[in-house]
Amino acid sequence: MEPEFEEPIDETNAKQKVLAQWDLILAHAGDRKHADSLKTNLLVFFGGRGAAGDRRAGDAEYLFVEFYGLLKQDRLEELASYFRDIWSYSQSDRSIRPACLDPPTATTYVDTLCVLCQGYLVALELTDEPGPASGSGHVADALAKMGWSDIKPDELGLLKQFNLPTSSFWLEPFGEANSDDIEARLKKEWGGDLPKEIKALVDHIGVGSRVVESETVAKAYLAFYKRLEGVP
Amino acid sequence: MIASAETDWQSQRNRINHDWLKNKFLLALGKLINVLDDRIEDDDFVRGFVANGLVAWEQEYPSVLSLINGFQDRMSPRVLFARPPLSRCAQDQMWLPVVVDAMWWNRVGVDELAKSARDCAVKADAAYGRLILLINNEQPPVEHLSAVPLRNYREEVFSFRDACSQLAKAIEKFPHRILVT
Repeated sequence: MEPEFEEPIDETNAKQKVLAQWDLILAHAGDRKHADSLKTNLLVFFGGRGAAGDRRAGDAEYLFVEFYGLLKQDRLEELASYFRDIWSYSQSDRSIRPACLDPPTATTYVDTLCVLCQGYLVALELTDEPGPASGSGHVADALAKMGWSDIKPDELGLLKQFNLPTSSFWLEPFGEANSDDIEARLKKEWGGDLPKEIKALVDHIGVGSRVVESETVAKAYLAFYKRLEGVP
Repeated sequence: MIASAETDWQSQRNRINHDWLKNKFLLALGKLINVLDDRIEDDDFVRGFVANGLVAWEQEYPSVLSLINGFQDRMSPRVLFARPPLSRCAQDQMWLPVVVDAMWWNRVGVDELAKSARDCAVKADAAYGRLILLINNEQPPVEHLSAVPLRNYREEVFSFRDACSQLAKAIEKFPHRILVT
């Protein structure tokens, strides 16, 4: 997300004089072309993810940081303190990195279901449990994309600790959530309607049955794969 | 705390690779080369960097190795089983994190990524060792040093800068999120 930025830096002499009085200037990445004319002890350019492809301009001495969220007044002091600290060659008593410099993280239902799909397909593969579409192109494709082909189950000790998925395999991770709750959460994370392959899986696991066709799971996994890997 | 392992690792990478190595240390090494090449004149910078900035490598090198070695434990999808929803998986399904981790290892090519980064770090440390040995033998001592005698070591400075640059690129290749596909 690009930070809010109200106006570009003015290059007038009057403004240069004002800027020269500050020992630290935070400026948007779009104003990097003004780097040489900004007279200050420490110059920091910020931008959103993807704006960091040109962090270094010749031998200019400035920091370039990725920034997540809106740049609000109450964060400036924290940021300024942090930038002064990392700029200093004194490495002791380093200040805590402000959270707005890191991308947000959370375990999503998308990630969760994607992992469960992998486990379920591996479970069927380990037991050679015959299913209506076992060994189909989708299942084989999913297993290959998951990285299963080079795994030696006995070397991992999987055969010793392995248990077939029970009826709780799909629903237990989601606690009290029913299939409607799961679908609603997935749609929110997805940013719109779910692909029919994932909707089909959610409908199946909502029934609470252990048995979901491998074909259904493989197709859902491939839909997750397509989305998460950015495959068109 | 395992639940924040991903954030911790990414923060550690940002601090080491982005904030320090790329945006501070490499820039300073670049400036040092420019001074040695007479493109700019700044003896104060040379004295300050050689006396205080260059040795930052010794302080950060263990952190670099720790970052590389910590990738497997902190960025594998296995860590997702430490927090909801996957932490609620039944106890008899504990084979699941094992297989998810093993498949991720294959997909991402963890061995190759870590080996490449580790090799770059070791090369950079060796280049630093050669450079600092020359500087420490220099007379007058570093606090009085100007750019003039350092010009004899331009090749060593350049090698070190190149090795640090390769290291930065190798660390950049590690995934920026936990990859579940």
